[in-house]
This record gives sequence, structure tokens and C-alpha cells, in this order.
Amino acid sequence: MPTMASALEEFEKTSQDFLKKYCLRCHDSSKQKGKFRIDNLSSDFNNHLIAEKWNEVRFRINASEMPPEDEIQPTAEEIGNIVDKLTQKIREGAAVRMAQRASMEHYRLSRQEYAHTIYDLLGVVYDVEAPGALNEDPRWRGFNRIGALLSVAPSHLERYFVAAEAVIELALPDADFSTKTNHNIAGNGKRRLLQLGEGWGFDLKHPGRYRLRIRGSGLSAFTGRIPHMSIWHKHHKRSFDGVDLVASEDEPVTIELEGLFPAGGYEIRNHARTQKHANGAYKLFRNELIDATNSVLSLKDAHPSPRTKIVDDKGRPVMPLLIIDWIEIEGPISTAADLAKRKGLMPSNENDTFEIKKCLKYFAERAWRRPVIDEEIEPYLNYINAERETDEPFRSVYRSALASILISRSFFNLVEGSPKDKRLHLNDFELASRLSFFLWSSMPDEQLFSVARNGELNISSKLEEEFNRMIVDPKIERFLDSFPRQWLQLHRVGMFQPDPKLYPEYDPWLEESMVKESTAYFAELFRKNLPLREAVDSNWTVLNSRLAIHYGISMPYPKQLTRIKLDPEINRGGLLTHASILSLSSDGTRHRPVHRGAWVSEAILSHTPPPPPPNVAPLEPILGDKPKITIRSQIEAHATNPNCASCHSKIDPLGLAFENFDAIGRWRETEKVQGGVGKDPLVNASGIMPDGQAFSNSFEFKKLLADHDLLAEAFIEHLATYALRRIMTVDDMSQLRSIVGSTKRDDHRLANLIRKFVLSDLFSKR
Amino acid sequence: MRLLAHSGLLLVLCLAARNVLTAENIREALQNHVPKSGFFPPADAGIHLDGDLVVSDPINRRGALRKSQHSKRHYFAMLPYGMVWHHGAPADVRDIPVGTHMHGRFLLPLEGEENTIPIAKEDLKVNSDYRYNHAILLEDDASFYSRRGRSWKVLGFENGGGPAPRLKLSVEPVGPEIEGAINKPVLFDIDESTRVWRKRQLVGKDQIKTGHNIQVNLTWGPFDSLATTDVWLDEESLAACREIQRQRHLRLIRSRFLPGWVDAVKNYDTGGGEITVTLFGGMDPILYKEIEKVKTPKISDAATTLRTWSYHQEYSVRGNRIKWKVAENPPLGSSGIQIQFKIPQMLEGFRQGRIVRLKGPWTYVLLPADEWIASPKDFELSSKLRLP
Repeated sequence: MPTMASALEEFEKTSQDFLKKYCLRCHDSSKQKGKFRIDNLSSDFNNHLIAEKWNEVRFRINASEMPPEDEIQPTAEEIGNIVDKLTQKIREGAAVRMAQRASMEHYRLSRQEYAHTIYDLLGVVYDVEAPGALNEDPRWRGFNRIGALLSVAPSHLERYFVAAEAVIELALPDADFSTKTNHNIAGNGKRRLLQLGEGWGFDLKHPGRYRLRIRGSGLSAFTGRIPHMSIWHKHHKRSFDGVDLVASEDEPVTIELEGLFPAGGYEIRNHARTQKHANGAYKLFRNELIDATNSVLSLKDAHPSPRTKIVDDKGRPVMPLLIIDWIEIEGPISTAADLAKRKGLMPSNENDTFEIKKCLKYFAERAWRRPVIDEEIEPYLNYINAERETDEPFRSVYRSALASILISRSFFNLVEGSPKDKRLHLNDFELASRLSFFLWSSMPDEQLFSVARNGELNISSKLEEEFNRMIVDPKIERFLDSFPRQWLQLHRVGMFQPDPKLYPEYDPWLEESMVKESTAYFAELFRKNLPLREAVDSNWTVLNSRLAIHYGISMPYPKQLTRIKLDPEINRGGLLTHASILSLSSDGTRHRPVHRGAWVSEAILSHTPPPPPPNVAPLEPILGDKPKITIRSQIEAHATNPNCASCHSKIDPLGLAFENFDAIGRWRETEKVQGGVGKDPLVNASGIMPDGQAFSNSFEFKKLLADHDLLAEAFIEHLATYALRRIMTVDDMSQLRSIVGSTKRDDHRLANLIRKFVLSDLFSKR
Repeated sequence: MRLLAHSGLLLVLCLAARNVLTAENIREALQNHVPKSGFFPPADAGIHLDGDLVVSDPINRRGALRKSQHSKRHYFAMLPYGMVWHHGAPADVRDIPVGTHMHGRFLLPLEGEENTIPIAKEDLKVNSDYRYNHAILLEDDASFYSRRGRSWKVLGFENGGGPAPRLKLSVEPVGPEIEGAINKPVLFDIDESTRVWRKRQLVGKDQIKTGHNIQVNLTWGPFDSLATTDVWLDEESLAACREIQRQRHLRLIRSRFLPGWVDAVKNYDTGGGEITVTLFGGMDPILYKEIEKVKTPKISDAATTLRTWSYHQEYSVRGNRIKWKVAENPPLGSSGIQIQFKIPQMLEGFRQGRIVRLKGPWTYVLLPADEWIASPKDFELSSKLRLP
């Protein structure tokens, strides 16, 4: 147990002074008020029991419960300072605990990685999100692949067992699984009219690769708004593919989409909007078959009806319309590449024990992503032999053995280290897996295995060669989608659905487009190897027609995600002005500048602010006779409370810089205030950075942030957290800074930065 | 809305101005004013006609009047904003017993509805008034006279002579002279079928005394005389019947919703939009007060017959009121109330000049199925008068 002196000596002087001045008078060896002593409280924050006690100290100070009212009181600045320091130490301790590695560590695959790995191993699609499939993975600041959080409970094993059986059944099916083509037509001489939110349903019985051909027309609304045709999964409530479709009624087009689809009910859906009907029903449907020889204009004059309006008085669609003639569904398709993955899986002679063993070993080595010794295969062989003695058919028994390989911990975990040998660095196979799960969210391919087998992956030039090869493989899309989603916490987009009364423009296609913009923007930064500063400040973005409308960008609208140059009057550029980022911190009714600030602090600067004190009074609604004021004004009034002010002065400016954007990321000059009297007030986006630099709007703020040293350091910390599947600690900081330092001369160009990280010692360390 | 209300008058003046702007020209232009959807006609447009209601199609708000023993039926349709009064209270065609003598203001057909009431060419040769077959106002005698400050002073009873001698009630008009009305002393048939009302009771005709100021409702009598169906001896008795009729009409509108039409439309490009609605007049004021309380009423679209589609509440959308405006001195047919709504999903019928019905804070009841327009065929059938 540390002595009093040694316990407090761990703190810097200001904190020591605070504890001595305000705490020790009652909580030292003599008084021990509440039987609680601080003077001898250890500063070993890596010990969670000690950290818990310090957390209690922080809580009491933050809540102004301590020191008691009749004692001398600290200033707000002093409180802010000690709370900050304690928070930092508690978090560092937590990070160390979460990053602790035994001689052998297991990092469970996220369910997304499980699905990718199964596909790359066997060419089989397994729907990990289906009811009863795999559990949703817990997140830490957006990351869902942190080993310390991805524990394995009995329920997981049960699900892995079910999954393994289903996967092997799909890979080696009993029944005929051949490709079929179904052709569904709207009707003789008929076309199916789909207004916004309507769909034409079809089912996929088996998961797999499908080719969908859809013939139809897409009519833009009278304003130019383009219809988006989505392949919408009814259970998952999201689209698995889609395209903006513009084709006249006279000249319909055939769209072909190919991809991997889970089984279930789907809709070809006019996706731009979903709305509840006023009586609570889904909506007033038209979803009707129309005469192929007549244009939609004829619907206006056919007869007045209680159904929804399709065309205006000039015969122009009042909303984007889809008119579908037929759908052709071909699948499940097994490509040559998929079939190749299953080659060598099934022995040709079921009585040839040698071949059976060879097949099992070959499969296990790929599934476990490492060399397998004969002893590891023996139990599976023994199982097969034992079961065959009971007259079980070989195929069934063999498949069970394969499934058992998939429920081995070596499959659903990334295993690093060995029980006997306490290694500091990964071996070649572990490094191959780390690299492939980092870049492809999946197992290594044969080429990467081969380099590992040759013991060459720890050679920097070979590693770089592999990195360069892997980033141009189509599977890099998984990283370009998954990493920005986790880093930027894009799972929060739409978490609190904007109130349809306040934001009737908000729709699922907009929500999907928002996320697409941010992932596509990151992909563009990566592919073009652009400087990291452009992540926060640029004059371009990547958007589709739906976002163009949302941002007030005039026609012609792009028909797909397209990089466009942003004129200054669009008031955007960089991730921080993406509608996704601006809306993910909103609460469904209004924007929340403090939460925006906390997000900037955490995601961009890698500093998570301390939690707010308990019982913080919420902002009061503005009553009828009071003048309208902005949220900012309310927060500023709130922050005059000294206990709040010290923290808010650091967090709030980071969010207030974006006051010109509303809860769903639209530009505004005034803030629409519910309640109160008078005009909606003008917004004020000025502020002062925690380091004292002033800005008057988001443009100036972004420039300050782009030049900030912390930008690259924070980014590489997030990247390392994603790749190494653990939280970075103070021990990692020097290596992280060294990586950043090595790319400073070329402005931290993104692909270079990631390459340097992969080639760093940190990447190959356990 | 004032602009819209008065544009009918402007049109009339323009037509008249093509010729010389004389009183005669103006009268003729007013008489031949063609009503248009979305515009209320100017005051005094059309012609006055009276006769017994002999055909009633309450579902489509149509019917026929018969002026005299030998005249042909004058078929008519109520204009969408056409008003009916019975016993001095707002009413519907269905409230008027067949055989009731009615007064009405009739205009040329609503533009686009020229074929609603078929007219035989030979009939037109006999009487061109058949062209005026869209009613803006229809009133029984009690409503017609009492609303204009007129009553009848009883002069006494007389025994009529001729081939069918009958007891006559001799009266003379009290109050202003009225166009199309009886403006001189007259004899009405009266017998035991006449309901005589005093206070809230039915009494015998012996209670009618010389010098009484009375109101009457009439029907056809032999040799085109006018026979009394009802005699009200005092204000209290008429007020009692008025209240019953008022309540009956309230019940009707609360289940069928308040009618109006669309003045203006703004489509959004996502299926929603805004509409501006002017409520029709001729309703009891309490209905307007009730609808004012509902900020998000359900809105159904309707035909010019005011019929709605299927289950009208289900086939409606909820409008979010963004403006409520009341004009003073609205034109005949208008309530003067104009409401602007934001609509989440526009219905086919939300077009300028088309009819809508607004649900107030009223319990929803299913309507009789023959009142719905359930199909295009139904609509087709309802678009033209079908003779009984």
C-alpha cells in the first residue's frame, strides 16, 4: 500500500494542492470521515477497485457534494481541473486494463467479420443479422471490434453452433441448389406504379449471390427530384442495393444488379420516402397496376378518387415515380470463385482415411488461419469413425465434423500468442490475419497465406507489397465502409429519429445517403491519397441526388454518388459539415451543440470529455409569452453555473461552431424556435478554442482544426484501435506519434499514413 | 379570398361592359352568369323559381320542382355550395318532405357540369328557365318569408266556391315586398291535414284568429291553389321546429363532415403539400366553431354532389392548420372562413376548385353504403341525374 506521500505524489502539483486543501482535512488518517481516507488511497489506477474509489471521489466533487457546504469551497476552475485530471487517470487505467494481454489472447470476430470470413472461406452467404443468428456486438466509442468487450458467453456458442451447421449445409447442400430464374411480370398490358414508399415484393428462399434484372421507368418529380429504386429487405429494414432510376414511360430501361443477399422478403421500393398515414396505417396506397398504353397523366382524368395524387394539373409527377414492368431474379449463383473455395473440401473417396484427413486439415488450416498439426485433426477423425460405426451416412457425419471446425475457438477468434512462449510480436500467420482483418474484415487469401507460410511477412518490403496488393483488391471496400462507420460513430445516424412533424423532409433514403456520403468521402480521401486535413476542411464532397436536394445544390442532380466541387455559398466541405455528422448528435427534436462538441472532441481530437455531473437540469422549453432565444443562448445561461462552466468552456465551442446547421444538417441563418414570441433569432457560430484561438464561424473553425497537431495523432489512434482491436494506452503514444511524425512532410496523406501504420512496429506487436 | 369571391362579379361586369353598361345588361349578365369551380357567383346571379319538390335524390342532392298542374318538372342539382333551408334552419335535400312548396335561386350549370341535368330540347322551347338548373338556394315558405322579415296577417276564413269548394284561410302579407314572392292578399287552402302549431303544441285550426301574424308552409292544392301543410301561430312554435331541424342538420354534417372547396394548392415534391380551403356557408355557426377547435382535422376529398369515397374517414388525410382567416360579408355560398393546411400526403382531389370535407371533433360513424362513391362506376352513375 503506498504511503500518503507516495499516493498523492502520482498527481501533478495542482491536483495535489486541491486534494490537500479541500479533501484531506476530513479524509486523512486522523479524521477518516465516513470511514474514507484519501491520504493513503493508492494511485494505481490500473487496479479497477482503486479506480472505482477515485471515481467516487470525482463524482462527489463534480456533483458539488464535496467539500460540504460548511467547508471552504473550491472555485469552478479548480473543480474543472481536478475532475479533468481524475477522469484522465481513470480512463488511462481503464485503457491499460482493456489492453492487457496475456501470453495468449483471443479476439472474437465481430459478426460482420464472421459473415465476411464465412463468405471468403466457403463462398456462402450467412445472414448474421437474421433473428436468432449472431448477437449484436457491443461498441466502445463506435468501435465494435474491441477484444476486451467481445466476450464469449454460452449463448454465443449456441449461436455459433447453429450458424456453423447452416453454413456447412449451404456449402455442401443435400438438396438441389441450382440456379433458378424467376420472371415476375406486372400483368399483361400492365405496369406497376410505385409511388413514394411503395414496393413490389419478392422472396429469396436461400441466401446467396443473385442477379436481379428489373425493367421499368423512373419519372422525376416536377422539381427534378429523382426516384431511387431500392432493393429493400423487409425484416432488416434496410436496402441491400439500389439505383437512381430515370427513364421515360416510353423508353423503359432494364437495370441489372448483382450482389450477395440474405434470404427473406424483399421489395423493389420507391425508396425516397416512407410516411405514416394520418390514421396510423402505413399510408394511403395506390400501388396499382396501370394500363401500359396510357401515361400516368391519364390517372388524373380517369376519375376523381380518394387515392393519392400522382400528377399535378400540368400532368407532371408530384413525386418521383417508379413504373415497373417486370422483375427477373436469377440465383443463387455460384461463381467459379465461390466454387473454388469449396474445392478440396469433400473427399472423393469416403473410405480413404488419408484423404479425409487431408481434406479436414486443409479446411482447418484455412478456417483457423494457421498451420494445423495432425493431433488437432485426430478428434475430428475419431468422431467420424465413431459415428460411421453407428451406420450414420458419411456425408452427414463429415459435414458435422466440418461444422465442428467452425465452432472451434480458433475460427471465431483471432488468436494471438502462445501459451508457452511469451512473445512481444505476432508471428507471420497472426500478422497475416491482423492485416487481412484490418483491410478486408476477413481471413487472408491464399497469396497472403503463402507469404506467411514462407515466413516473409515480417519482412517490411514483403509486408508493404502485400499491403499494396490488398488495397486495390475489391475487398478493400469493406475497410472503406466499416472503418469510417466505426470511427465517426455513424451507427448513431437516425438513432433518434427526427420528429416527422418538425422535419417532414427526413426520410430513410436521406438517412442512408447521409451515411453513404461520409463513407464515400473517406474512400475518396484514401483512394486519391489526399492529405488528412481534407477530412475536416475541403471544397468538395461525394453525394447523390437526395443529398444534393438536402444541401440546396441545384440541378442537374447526380444519378449516383459523385464527387462534386462545392461552391462557397453551399457552406460545406469536410466531414464535419456532412449531414450525417451534424445529425448524429441530435435528439430527434433539435440539434444539441454540447453533444456535437463532445463528438468533435472524441472522434476528431480523441479526447472524451468527462461525464456531466448528476442531476443537470434540462433546458426548459420556451413558454408562450417569453421571447424566442437560441439553444446557444440557453446553454450559455446554463453554463454560468460555475460547476458547469469549466467543462463547457472546452466542449461547447467545438459544437457551437456548427450553429449554422440544424438538427438534420441543413444550413440556416436563423434558428427555428418552438414556442415563445417574436422572430426566430439569428444564430451565432463564433467561439474560442480551448487553446485560445478565436473563430467566427464553421469555416474558420475547420481551418483551425485542420491545422491542429492533434488531428493526425487522434486519427492514427482511432485507426490503431480498429486494427489492433484494443484501446490505445499511454504506452502506445510514442509509437503513434512517431508514425504521425513520419508522414508530416507529405501532409499526412491518408493512404501513406495507413501504410506507415501497417509497416510500423506497433502494427506487428501483440 | 375576397378577390376570389368578387371575381364572379367582375366577370359579370366584364360581360356586361362588352355592351353598354345598362341596368338591363347587368341584370341579364347576372341572370346568365356561368358558375365556375373555385369562384362563388355574384349576388343575385341566376333566377328565382318556386314550386313543389316532387322528386328528391338526397344522396346526390338533386331533385325536381313542379310549378303547376300542367308544367313539366324542373330538375335541378344543388351547386356544391348550394344551401337548403327548412323551418328557418339549415337543412339538406333529404330534410324536405316531397310535396313541400319551395323557393329557390337557380343558375346555369356549373362549368363542366352541363350534362348533369339533361334537358330535352322541346322543353326548352316551352320554357327556357329549364336551363337554370343548378340551385344555390332552396327554401321552404317558412324560411323564405321569415328570413326576409315577412309574415302573414290572418284576415279570416272563407268558404271557397267552384267545382271543389274548400275552406280558405285569408291572409295578407306583412313586411317588405320580395322578388318571386306573393306580395298581395291571398287565400290558402286549409283543412284537417294542416298542422297548426302554437307554442310547442299542435292545436286545432279553430285557434287561428283574425289578426294573428303567422308563418305557413305550403303545398300544391286543386286548381293550382296553395294549400297549407303547416301554420305557425307564434314565434315560439316556429322556433321549436327550427331547433329540431337545426339539430337534424348538425347530426348530418357531423357525420358527413363540413364541406368546402380548395382555393389554392401547393404541391411539394414528396407527395405532401399545402391546400387552402374555403368552407361553404349555410351551416349553423356552431359547426364552424367546432372545426376551429381542431388544428389537425381529417380531410376527405369529395365530388360536387358532396359525396365522399368509401369510408370517408379512412380515405382522408390529416391537415395541419397553418392559417385561419375569416372574411367579412362573404358571398352567398361561402362561410367566409378560409383555412390553410399543410398536408402530409396529397389526395387526388386536392386540386383548385375541387370539393373537400373536413372532420371536426365528432364521433366517426360509418355512412350508409349507398352514400359512398365506392368505384369509378359509382362515380360515373352519380355524375348525371338519374330519373326515378
